[in-house]
Amino acid sequence: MRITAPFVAAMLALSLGSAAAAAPLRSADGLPDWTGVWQNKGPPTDTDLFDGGTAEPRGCAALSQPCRSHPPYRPDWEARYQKNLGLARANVLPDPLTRCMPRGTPGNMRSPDTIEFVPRPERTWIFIENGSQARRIYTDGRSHRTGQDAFDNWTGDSIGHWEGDTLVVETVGVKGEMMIDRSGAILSSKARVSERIRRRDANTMEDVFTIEDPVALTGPWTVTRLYRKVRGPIYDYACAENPRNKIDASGRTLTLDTQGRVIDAR
Amino acid sequence: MRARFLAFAALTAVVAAASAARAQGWAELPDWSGDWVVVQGEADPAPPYRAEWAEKARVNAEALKKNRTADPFATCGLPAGAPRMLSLPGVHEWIVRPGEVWHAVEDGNTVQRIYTDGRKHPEGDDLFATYTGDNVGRWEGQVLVIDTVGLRGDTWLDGAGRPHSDRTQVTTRVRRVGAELEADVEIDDPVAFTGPWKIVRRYRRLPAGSFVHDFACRVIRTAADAKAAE
Repeated sequence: MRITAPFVAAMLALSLGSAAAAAPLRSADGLPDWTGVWQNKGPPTDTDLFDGGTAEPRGCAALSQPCRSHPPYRPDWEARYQKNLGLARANVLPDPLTRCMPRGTPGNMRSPDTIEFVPRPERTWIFIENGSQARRIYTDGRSHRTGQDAFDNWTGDSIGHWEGDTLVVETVGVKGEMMIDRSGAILSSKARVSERIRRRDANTMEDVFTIEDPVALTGPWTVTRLYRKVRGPIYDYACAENPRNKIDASGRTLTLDTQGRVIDAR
Repeated sequence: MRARFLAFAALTAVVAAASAARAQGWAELPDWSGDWVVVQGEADPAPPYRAEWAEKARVNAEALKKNRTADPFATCGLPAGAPRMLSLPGVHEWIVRPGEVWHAVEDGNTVQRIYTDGRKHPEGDDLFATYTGDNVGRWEGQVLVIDTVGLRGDTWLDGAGRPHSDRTQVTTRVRRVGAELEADVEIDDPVAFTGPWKIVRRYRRLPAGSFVHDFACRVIRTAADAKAAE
């Protein structure tokens, strides 16, 4: 290995501590190639999003999407999750996405449709077609927001740094009580979401989440998401164009065919 | 001699055109990083509308006076589209990379993708109308020239209710002028206009360390609906 001056400088900075603040801005030429359009690897349709019995994504192993583990909830949050699971099984759990609301971090990384990862030295953008939603990960050495700038929002406050070709992201300041998937998993506003984002191979992006939440969870919860490369382009998203599905007397959202006729079993 | 010079000139032109089409490397790209907001300038000239389109603009403006939600963008979930997104309030980002530029606007999470990798517009059925259209860009030195086609006809050109047809074509030249970014916009619409409509948008950079916030239009609408229902 050739020892370069920047390398020595970086090691020196690391040894002096406060690595994130001291890390030099990565050069543009040194950024990994994440070009193209990607799609969450997972069950293809909403109705198959999770297995009603286990709350794990159905068919995840067959699709080489790692099955996520059950969130290590504290008892009161487990009870709330079980209630949401019951609603989801009965198809009466409203997903914010269906009301043109954002899903927020980390649930936005489990959105339908396609996704882009756009790195530049000072920021990396993650554009999510569904919504549309946009995440901004600041890699210019800044710290998390403080004072009146530090209010909770959907995408949260994401700071990142590069470790080789892996983007390491720390997100705080997310809104609590947001559904993060179709099974109805929720976190508190104290959740801290760490991500390691890298290109695993030519056709796969990987995002390994470690979610810590002193209010809702008893310990860290690790979830891996994979994204396959798909043919672009990525398109605009006009949420209000979606047909308004009817809701029956029990609160169940009905499925319509292309002519607008209800096709659910009575 | 003259013939030989002309041949040389033609060859030079071909080489220049070929190098312009070549995707640029990082070193050749301008630094447009940071957070930009529209600088309020003088009012745009009146669009050169044909009579029936001037009437449509008048009807839209009247409807807006009665109710802001006459604006399709104000009802949430429908994008502002191009070229209106150039004028939106909130932060604009021009994300420049070799092969592609993203113009991202905080308002509405609007994203326009401008391909600078030498591709051409799709043809036939592949070119269907969308809100932000099909955007092909090229670099003329440090100037980004964007050609936009494939636009829907049901968006507005601005917040004043000015309509356009689905035959609109937009040429936008974006460049750094001093501390500002400037977009010179020429909007051609053979259906609605009698000639090109030229407008200018300028952007100033916010202080370093600024943030772009996320945008949830439905939340604002829900609050407004609740207030209206009181």
